Amino acid sequence: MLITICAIVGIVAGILCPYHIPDAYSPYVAIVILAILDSVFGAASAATHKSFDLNTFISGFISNGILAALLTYLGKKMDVDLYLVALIIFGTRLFSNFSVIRRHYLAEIGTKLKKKFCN
Amino acid sequence: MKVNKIQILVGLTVLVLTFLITIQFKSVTVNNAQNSKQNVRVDELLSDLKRERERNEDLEKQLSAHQNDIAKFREEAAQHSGYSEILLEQLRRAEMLAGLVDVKGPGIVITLTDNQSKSANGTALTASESLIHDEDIRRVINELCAAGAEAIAVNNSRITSTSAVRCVGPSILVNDEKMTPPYKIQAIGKADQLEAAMNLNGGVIDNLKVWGFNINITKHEQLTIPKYNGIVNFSSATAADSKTGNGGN
Repeated sequence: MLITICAIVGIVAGILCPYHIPDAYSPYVAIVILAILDSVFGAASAATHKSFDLNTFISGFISNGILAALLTYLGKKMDVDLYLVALIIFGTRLFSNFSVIRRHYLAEIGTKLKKKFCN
Repeated sequence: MKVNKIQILVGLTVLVLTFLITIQFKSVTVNNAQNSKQNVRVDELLSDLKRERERNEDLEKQLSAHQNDIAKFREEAAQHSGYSEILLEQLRRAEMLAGLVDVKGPGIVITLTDNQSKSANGTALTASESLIHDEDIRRVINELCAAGAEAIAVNNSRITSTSAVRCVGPSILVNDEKMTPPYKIQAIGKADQLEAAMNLNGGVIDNLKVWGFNINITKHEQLTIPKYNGIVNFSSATAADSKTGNGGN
Protein backbone atom coordinates (compact mmCIF):
# COMPACT_ATOMS: atom_id res chain seq x y z
CA MET A 1 0.00 0.00 0.00
CA LEU A 2 2.70 2.42 1.09
CA ILE A 3 4.78 1.33 -1.90
CA THR A 4 1.94 2.07 -4.32
CA ILE A 5 1.50 5.54 -2.82
CA CYS A 6 5.24 6.16 -3.15
CA ALA A 7 5.16 5.07 -6.79
CA ILE A 8 2.31 7.45 -7.56
CA VAL A 9 4.02 10.31 -5.70
CA GLY A 10 7.19 9.63 -7.72
CA ILE A 11 5.34 9.73 -11.03
CA VAL A 12 3.51 12.94 -10.11
CA ALA A 13 6.75 14.57 -8.94
CA GLY A 14 8.44 13.54 -12.19
CA ILE A 15 5.65 15.03 -14.28
CA LEU A 16 5.55 18.24 -12.28
CA CYS A 17 9.33 18.68 -12.16
CA PRO A 18 10.14 21.68 -14.40
CA TYR A 19 13.67 20.51 -15.23
CA HIS A 20 14.73 17.90 -17.71
CA ILE A 21 17.96 15.95 -17.96
CA PRO A 22 20.43 17.12 -20.59
CA ASP A 23 21.14 14.78 -23.47
CA ALA A 24 24.67 14.05 -22.21
CA TYR A 25 23.47 12.70 -18.86
CA SER A 26 20.52 10.61 -20.00
CA PRO A 27 22.60 7.37 -20.38
CA TYR A 28 23.62 7.69 -16.72
CA VAL A 29 20.05 8.18 -15.58
CA ALA A 30 18.94 5.22 -17.69
CA ILE A 31 21.57 2.95 -16.16
CA VAL A 32 20.77 4.16 -12.63
CA ILE A 33 17.08 3.47 -13.28
CA LEU A 34 18.00 -0.05 -14.29
CA ALA A 35 20.12 -0.49 -11.13
CA ILE A 36 17.24 0.59 -8.92
CA LEU A 37 14.81 -1.59 -10.86
CA ASP A 38 17.16 -4.51 -10.31
CA SER A 39 17.32 -3.79 -6.58
CA VAL A 40 13.54 -3.58 -6.30
CA PHE A 41 13.04 -6.87 -8.14
CA GLY A 42 15.79 -8.42 -6.03
CA ALA A 43 14.00 -7.24 -2.90
CA ALA A 44 10.70 -8.65 -4.13
CA SER A 45 12.22 -12.03 -4.92
CA ALA A 46 14.05 -12.10 -1.58
CA ALA A 47 10.77 -11.29 0.16
CA THR A 48 9.20 -14.43 -1.38
CA HIS A 49 11.88 -16.50 0.34
CA LYS A 50 11.51 -14.46 3.50
CA SER A 51 15.22 -13.77 3.22
CA PHE A 52 14.98 -10.02 2.69
CA ASP A 53 17.82 -8.14 4.35
CA LEU A 54 17.59 -4.38 4.59
CA ASN A 55 21.35 -3.77 4.62
CA THR A 56 21.88 -5.93 1.55
CA PHE A 57 19.10 -4.09 -0.20
CA ILE A 58 20.42 -0.59 0.53
CA SER A 59 24.07 -1.34 -0.09
CA GLY A 60 23.28 -3.22 -3.30
CA PHE A 61 21.04 -0.46 -4.52
CA ILE A 62 23.60 2.31 -3.91
CA SER A 63 26.78 0.51 -4.95
CA ASN A 64 25.21 -1.03 -8.06
CA GLY A 65 23.99 2.38 -9.14
CA ILE A 66 27.42 3.96 -8.61
CA LEU A 67 29.27 1.13 -10.33
CA ALA A 68 26.92 1.23 -13.30
CA ALA A 69 27.30 5.01 -13.64
CA LEU A 70 31.09 4.70 -13.37
CA LEU A 71 31.13 2.02 -16.06
CA THR A 72 29.09 4.26 -18.33
CA TYR A 73 31.49 7.14 -17.74
CA LEU A 74 34.55 4.97 -18.31
CA GLY A 75 32.99 3.57 -21.48
CA LYS A 76 32.33 7.07 -22.79
CA LYS A 77 35.94 8.07 -22.14
CA MET A 78 37.31 4.96 -23.80
CA ASP A 79 34.76 5.00 -26.63
CA VAL A 80 33.65 1.46 -25.75
CA ASP A 81 30.01 0.91 -24.86
CA LEU A 82 30.80 -0.41 -21.37
CA TYR A 83 27.32 0.46 -20.11
CA LEU A 84 26.17 -2.59 -22.10
CA VAL A 85 27.85 -4.71 -19.41
CA ALA A 86 25.66 -3.22 -16.71
CA LEU A 87 22.67 -3.35 -19.03
CA ILE A 88 23.03 -7.08 -19.68
CA ILE A 89 23.77 -8.01 -16.08
CA PHE A 90 20.86 -6.02 -14.71
CA GLY A 91 18.60 -7.33 -17.45
CA THR A 92 19.49 -10.96 -16.79
CA ARG A 93 19.04 -10.54 -13.05
CA LEU A 94 15.75 -8.79 -13.59
CA PHE A 95 14.40 -11.77 -15.50
CA SER A 96 15.79 -14.37 -13.10
CA ASN A 97 14.36 -12.51 -10.11
CA PHE A 98 11.07 -12.17 -11.93
CA SER A 99 11.00 -15.91 -12.58
CA VAL A 100 11.61 -16.59 -8.88
CA ILE A 101 8.67 -14.35 -7.99
CA ARG A 102 6.50 -15.99 -10.69
CA ARG A 103 7.29 -19.53 -9.51
CA HIS A 104 6.58 -18.57 -5.93
CA TYR A 105 3.11 -17.23 -6.71
CA LEU A 106 2.38 -20.08 -9.11
CA ALA A 107 3.21 -22.55 -6.35
CA GLU A 108 1.02 -20.64 -3.94
CA ILE A 109 -1.91 -20.66 -6.33
CA GLY A 110 -1.27 -24.35 -7.00
CA THR A 111 -1.51 -25.27 -3.32
CA LYS A 112 -4.66 -23.19 -2.92
CA LEU A 113 -6.33 -24.96 -5.84
CA LYS A 114 -5.31 -28.35 -4.46
CA LYS A 115 -6.89 -27.51 -1.15
CA LYS A 116 -10.08 -26.45 -2.90
CA PHE A 117 -10.36 -29.63 -4.95
CA CYS A 118 -9.42 -31.95 -2.11
CA ASN A 119 -12.06 -30.49 0.17
CA MET B 1 8.57 -1.55 13.77
CA LYS B 2 11.11 -3.31 11.61
CA VAL B 3 8.58 -4.06 8.92
CA ASN B 4 7.65 -0.39 8.83
CA LYS B 5 11.26 0.66 8.37
CA ILE B 6 11.66 -1.75 5.49
CA GLN B 7 8.43 -0.60 3.92
CA ILE B 8 9.46 3.04 4.16
CA LEU B 9 12.87 2.41 2.63
CA VAL B 10 11.57 0.24 -0.19
CA GLY B 11 8.84 2.80 -0.72
CA LEU B 12 11.40 5.59 -0.96
CA THR B 13 13.39 3.56 -3.47
CA VAL B 14 10.30 2.99 -5.56
CA LEU B 15 9.56 6.71 -5.32
CA VAL B 16 13.02 7.58 -6.62
CA LEU B 17 12.66 4.92 -9.31
CA THR B 18 9.34 6.15 -10.65
CA PHE B 19 10.47 9.76 -10.39
CA LEU B 20 13.59 9.02 -12.44
CA ILE B 21 11.65 7.00 -15.00
CA THR B 22 9.10 9.73 -15.61
CA ILE B 23 11.70 12.47 -15.77
CA GLN B 24 13.79 10.37 -18.14
CA PHE B 25 10.77 9.79 -20.39
CA LYS B 26 10.16 13.52 -20.45
CA SER B 27 13.83 14.34 -21.08
CA VAL B 28 14.15 11.90 -23.95
CA THR B 29 11.05 13.35 -25.61
CA VAL B 30 12.26 16.93 -25.12
CA ASN B 31 15.82 16.17 -26.26
CA ASN B 32 14.66 14.34 -29.37
CA ALA B 33 12.41 17.23 -30.29
CA GLN B 34 15.28 19.69 -29.79
CA ASN B 35 17.70 17.60 -31.84
CA SER B 36 15.34 17.34 -34.77
CA LYS B 37 14.75 21.08 -34.58
CA GLN B 38 18.50 21.70 -34.62
CA ASN B 39 18.94 19.40 -37.60
CA VAL B 40 16.32 21.30 -39.54
CA ARG B 41 18.08 24.55 -38.69
CA VAL B 42 21.45 23.18 -39.80
CA ASP B 43 19.95 22.03 -43.10
CA GLU B 44 18.44 25.46 -43.65
CA LEU B 45 21.72 27.21 -42.90
CA LEU B 46 23.61 24.84 -45.17
CA SER B 47 21.36 25.54 -48.13
CA ASP B 48 21.58 29.27 -47.37
CA LEU B 49 25.35 29.04 -47.31
CA LYS B 50 25.40 27.15 -50.60
CA ARG B 51 23.17 29.72 -52.25
CA GLU B 52 25.30 32.59 -50.98
CA ARG B 53 28.46 30.88 -52.17
CA GLU B 54 27.03 30.47 -55.64
CA ARG B 55 25.99 34.12 -55.68
CA ASN B 56 29.46 35.05 -54.52
CA GLU B 57 31.04 33.12 -57.37
CA ASP B 58 28.77 34.81 -59.89
CA LEU B 59 29.64 38.21 -58.51
CA GLU B 60 33.34 37.43 -58.62
CA LYS B 61 32.99 36.45 -62.27
CA GLN B 62 31.21 39.73 -62.94
CA LEU B 63 33.92 41.64 -61.12
CA SER B 64 36.72 40.10 -63.15
CA ALA B 65 34.77 40.78 -66.37
CA HIS B 66 34.45 44.45 -65.41
CA GLN B 67 38.10 44.62 -64.50
CA ASN B 68 38.99 43.27 -67.95
CA ASP B 69 36.82 45.96 -69.50
CA ILE B 70 38.63 48.65 -67.53
CA ALA B 71 42.01 47.30 -68.59
CA LYS B 72 40.90 47.36 -72.22
CA PHE B 73 39.65 50.95 -71.98
CA ARG B 74 42.90 51.97 -70.38
CA GLU B 75 45.02 50.45 -73.11
CA GLU B 76 42.95 52.14 -75.76
CA ALA B 77 43.21 55.45 -73.99
CA ALA B 78 46.98 55.15 -73.66
CA GLN B 79 47.36 54.51 -77.35
CA HIS B 80 45.45 57.63 -78.30
CA SER B 81 47.32 60.65 -76.97
CA GLY B 82 49.89 62.10 -74.60
CA TYR B 83 47.17 63.70 -72.51
CA SER B 84 45.61 60.37 -71.77
CA GLU B 85 49.04 59.06 -70.82
CA ILE B 86 49.22 61.68 -68.11
CA LEU B 87 45.74 60.75 -67.04
CA LEU B 88 46.80 57.11 -66.95
CA GLU B 89 49.78 58.00 -64.78
CA GLN B 90 47.54 59.86 -62.38
CA LEU B 91 45.09 56.99 -62.38
CA ARG B 92 47.86 54.57 -61.50
CA ARG B 93 48.97 56.76 -58.63
CA ALA B 94 45.42 57.05 -57.36
CA GLU B 95 44.99 53.31 -57.56
CA MET B 96 48.15 52.73 -55.58
CA LEU B 97 46.95 55.16 -52.95
CA ALA B 98 43.60 53.43 -52.77
CA GLY B 99 45.20 49.99 -52.65
CA LEU B 100 43.57 48.81 -55.87
CA VAL B 101 46.73 47.44 -57.49
CA ASP B 102 49.30 44.90 -56.39
CA VAL B 103 52.45 46.62 -55.18
CA LYS B 104 55.95 45.37 -54.56
CA GLY B 105 59.03 46.71 -52.87
CA PRO B 106 61.23 46.25 -49.83
CA GLY B 107 59.55 45.85 -46.48
CA ILE B 108 59.02 43.74 -43.40
CA VAL B 109 56.74 40.89 -42.40
CA ILE B 110 55.59 40.61 -38.80
CA THR B 111 54.21 37.24 -37.77
CA LEU B 112 52.06 37.12 -34.63
CA THR B 113 51.16 33.77 -33.09
CA ASP B 114 48.87 33.12 -30.13
CA ASN B 115 50.49 32.27 -26.82
CA GLN B 116 50.27 28.48 -26.58
CA SER B 117 52.19 27.98 -23.35
CA LYS B 118 50.58 27.58 -19.96
CA SER B 119 50.58 30.08 -17.14
CA ALA B 120 52.90 29.85 -14.16
CA ASN B 121 50.58 27.69 -12.08
CA GLY B 122 50.09 25.21 -14.93
CA THR B 123 46.49 26.03 -15.81
CA ALA B 124 45.51 26.87 -19.36
CA LEU B 125 45.45 30.58 -20.10
CA THR B 126 42.14 32.35 -20.59
CA ALA B 127 41.16 33.54 -24.05
CA SER B 128 41.95 37.16 -23.20
CA GLU B 129 45.45 36.21 -22.07
CA SER B 130 46.47 33.81 -24.83
CA LEU B 131 44.80 35.13 -28.00
CA ILE B 132 45.88 37.94 -30.24
CA HIS B 133 43.12 40.50 -30.41
CA ASP B 134 41.93 42.82 -33.11
CA GLU B 135 43.28 45.66 -31.01
CA ASP B 136 46.82 44.23 -31.13
CA ILE B 137 46.68 44.02 -34.93
CA ARG B 138 45.31 47.56 -35.13
CA ARG B 139 48.13 48.84 -32.97
CA VAL B 140 50.77 47.23 -35.17
CA ILE B 141 49.13 48.64 -38.30
CA ASN B 142 48.93 52.08 -36.72
CA GLU B 143 52.59 52.00 -35.78
CA LEU B 144 53.57 50.85 -39.28
CA CYS B 145 51.60 53.73 -40.81
CA ALA B 146 53.32 56.14 -38.46
CA ALA B 147 56.70 54.75 -39.51
CA GLY B 148 56.01 55.48 -43.16
CA ALA B 149 54.70 52.20 -44.50
CA GLU B 150 53.29 52.67 -47.99
CA ALA B 151 51.22 49.53 -48.25
CA ILE B 152 50.05 47.16 -45.53
CA ALA B 153 48.24 43.84 -45.65
CA VAL B 154 47.15 41.36 -42.99
CA ASN B 155 47.31 37.74 -44.19
CA ASN B 156 47.23 39.07 -47.78
CA SER B 157 44.20 41.25 -47.15
CA ARG B 158 45.12 44.80 -48.13
CA ILE B 159 44.54 47.55 -45.61
CA THR B 160 42.86 50.49 -47.32
CA SER B 161 41.48 53.77 -46.07
CA THR B 162 38.16 52.07 -45.34
CA SER B 163 39.51 48.82 -43.91
CA ALA B 164 38.26 47.67 -40.53
CA VAL B 165 39.96 45.23 -38.19
CA ARG B 166 37.56 43.75 -35.74
CA CYS B 167 36.99 40.84 -33.45
CA VAL B 168 34.49 38.06 -34.17
CA GLY B 169 34.59 35.38 -31.52
CA PRO B 170 37.85 33.45 -31.75
CA SER B 171 38.96 34.99 -35.04
CA ILE B 172 39.59 38.41 -36.46
CA LEU B 173 37.88 40.06 -39.41
CA VAL B 174 40.00 42.18 -41.72
CA ASN B 175 38.06 43.73 -44.62
CA ASP B 176 35.27 41.28 -43.69
CA GLU B 177 37.63 38.37 -44.35
CA LYS B 178 38.02 35.88 -41.53
CA MET B 179 41.60 35.53 -40.29
CA THR B 180 43.11 32.87 -38.10
CA PRO B 181 46.52 32.85 -36.47
CA PRO B 182 49.34 33.13 -37.34
CA TYR B 183 48.67 36.68 -38.40
CA LYS B 184 51.15 37.84 -41.03
CA ILE B 185 51.29 41.60 -41.27
CA GLN B 186 53.13 42.66 -44.42
CA ALA B 187 54.30 46.23 -44.90
CA ILE B 188 56.17 47.88 -47.73
CA GLY B 189 58.36 50.80 -46.86
CA LYS B 190 61.92 51.46 -45.72
CA ALA B 191 62.57 48.12 -44.07
CA ASP B 192 65.12 49.37 -41.54
CA GLN B 193 62.91 52.23 -40.50
CA LEU B 194 59.86 50.00 -40.13
CA GLU B 195 61.77 47.42 -38.12
CA ALA B 196 63.20 50.07 -35.83
CA ALA B 197 59.73 51.49 -35.25
CA MET B 198 58.45 48.07 -34.33
CA ASN B 199 61.28 47.40 -31.91
CA LEU B 200 61.10 50.72 -30.05
CA ASN B 201 61.65 50.37 -26.33
CA GLY B 202 58.23 50.21 -24.75
CA GLY B 203 56.70 50.15 -28.21
CA VAL B 204 54.08 47.89 -29.74
CA ILE B 205 56.13 44.71 -29.86
CA ASP B 206 57.45 45.20 -26.34
CA ASN B 207 53.89 45.53 -25.09
CA LEU B 208 52.79 42.40 -26.93
CA LYS B 209 55.76 40.36 -25.78
CA VAL B 210 54.64 40.87 -22.17
CA TRP B 211 51.72 38.56 -22.97
CA GLY B 212 54.03 35.83 -24.25
CA PHE B 213 52.97 36.04 -27.89
CA ASN B 214 55.33 34.56 -30.44
CA ILE B 215 56.43 37.53 -32.56
CA ASN B 216 58.71 37.27 -35.54
CA ILE B 217 59.93 40.16 -37.69
CA THR B 218 61.68 39.51 -41.01
CA LYS B 219 63.03 42.04 -43.48
CA HIS B 220 62.49 41.41 -47.17
CA GLU B 221 64.25 42.89 -50.19
CA GLN B 222 61.26 42.29 -52.37
CA LEU B 223 57.78 41.93 -50.98
CA THR B 224 54.52 41.74 -52.93
CA ILE B 225 51.31 42.96 -51.40
CA PRO B 226 48.10 42.05 -53.20
CA LYS B 227 45.46 44.58 -54.12
CA TYR B 228 42.28 45.14 -52.19
CA ASN B 229 39.76 42.53 -53.34
CA GLY B 230 36.53 44.17 -52.29
CA ILE B 231 34.54 46.87 -53.95
CA VAL B 232 34.76 50.49 -52.84
CA ASN B 233 31.48 52.29 -53.20
CA PHE B 234 30.81 55.88 -52.30
CA SER B 235 27.13 56.24 -51.62
CA SER B 236 27.25 59.23 -49.29
CA ALA B 237 30.46 61.05 -50.10
CA THR B 238 30.91 63.07 -53.26
CA ALA B 239 33.92 65.18 -54.14
CA ALA B 240 33.43 68.76 -52.97
CA ASP B 241 33.92 70.97 -56.05
CA SER B 242 37.42 72.42 -55.97
CA LYS B 243 36.26 75.53 -57.92
CA THR B 244 34.06 76.65 -55.04
CA GLY B 245 37.08 76.47 -52.78
CA ASN B 246 35.60 74.05 -50.30
CA GLY B 247 37.39 70.89 -49.38
CA GLY B 248 39.67 70.04 -52.29
CA ASN B 249 43.28 71.16 -52.24
